[in-house]
Amino acid sequence: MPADDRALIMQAKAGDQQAFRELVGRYQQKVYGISFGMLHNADDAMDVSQEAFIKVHRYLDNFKGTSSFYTWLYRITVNLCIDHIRKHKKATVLDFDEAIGHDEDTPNEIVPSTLGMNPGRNLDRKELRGLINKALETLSPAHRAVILMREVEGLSYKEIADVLEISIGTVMSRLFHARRRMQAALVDVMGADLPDSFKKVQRANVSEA
Amino acid sequence: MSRKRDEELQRYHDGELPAGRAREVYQQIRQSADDRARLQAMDEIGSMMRTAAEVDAEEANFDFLWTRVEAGIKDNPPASAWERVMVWLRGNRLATASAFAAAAAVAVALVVTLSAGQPAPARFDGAIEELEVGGNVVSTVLTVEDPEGEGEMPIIWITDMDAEGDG
Repeated sequence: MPADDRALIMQAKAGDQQAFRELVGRYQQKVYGISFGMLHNADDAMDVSQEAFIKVHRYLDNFKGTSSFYTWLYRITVNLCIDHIRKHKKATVLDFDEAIGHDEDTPNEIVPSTLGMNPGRNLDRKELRGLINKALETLSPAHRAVILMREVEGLSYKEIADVLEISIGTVMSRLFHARRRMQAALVDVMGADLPDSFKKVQRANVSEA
Repeated sequence: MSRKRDEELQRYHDGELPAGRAREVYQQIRQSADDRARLQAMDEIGSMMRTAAEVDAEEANFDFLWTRVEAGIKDNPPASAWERVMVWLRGNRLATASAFAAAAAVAVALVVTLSAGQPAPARFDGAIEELEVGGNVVSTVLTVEDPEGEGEMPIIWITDMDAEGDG
């Protein structure tokens, strides 16, 4: 944990609201980023971000500093997002089981891409964002959380395991399935924006399956 | 392509392979167009997700977040010791379950304490709250360091004030 985080936390624990405000400023983008990635709605993401920081403040005395502050903060945020999804049922929450083939409708492998191809190259950034969010919505919350923490936040497997309180093996397995499903979903949502060569590869995989 | 190979490529892509193995995989990737294509696919997914996240962040307005958090903090002051103990217990369900047996033994000791009218320790660094249970009985919640170093564990000391006065 960064030394200045630790100092701010100690000050906030002692009742220094300004110190807590600085912590909020420091982590608000990350918390919002995870929330938006999970929920795909700006208002909901802001609500969850607010709730996460209030909860952190409320239970700050429980934080002993044995794990990093952001691990604890992410855990609270991801759990709030999952609760939100369950309560509002805005997304299709897929049953999740590491042991069974829950990706039967997707190829068995990460689909080889055509070298040098970037499916998003010709898309407007906002268009691309919309398509990515659509694809993310097809993932279970468990898969979504893992792929967001890895790809967007750049967390290591160990850090993701700590946040979600799961094993590193489970992180790897979820990440594998999340990438596979994400790629299949992108093929669906990007449709005509995909180069022909990519579609060809996809068709070949589907016929092999 | 086997699942095992795909997972190894994933670990290579994510920088999670030990250095020695990563060098071997790198040599294999150089020889395999298929491996390179799979790595590129992972790159593309990550790159597109980061672009999307950047757009999300650019559109977000954090001007009022602190105001909202501040208002929320006023409505939700720091949790009481008892709430924090309950949160800790919920977060340690397994430990809590196995502690129930020990708790039963502690309960017997508490009954003995209650009947004997002994007061809670006058000074205890971990004493965090006193609760009025009802009548003239006061419950003092103490926390002590978990001997296994996994945080703290609560001890509830129940004192019958009448008995204490009589003592």
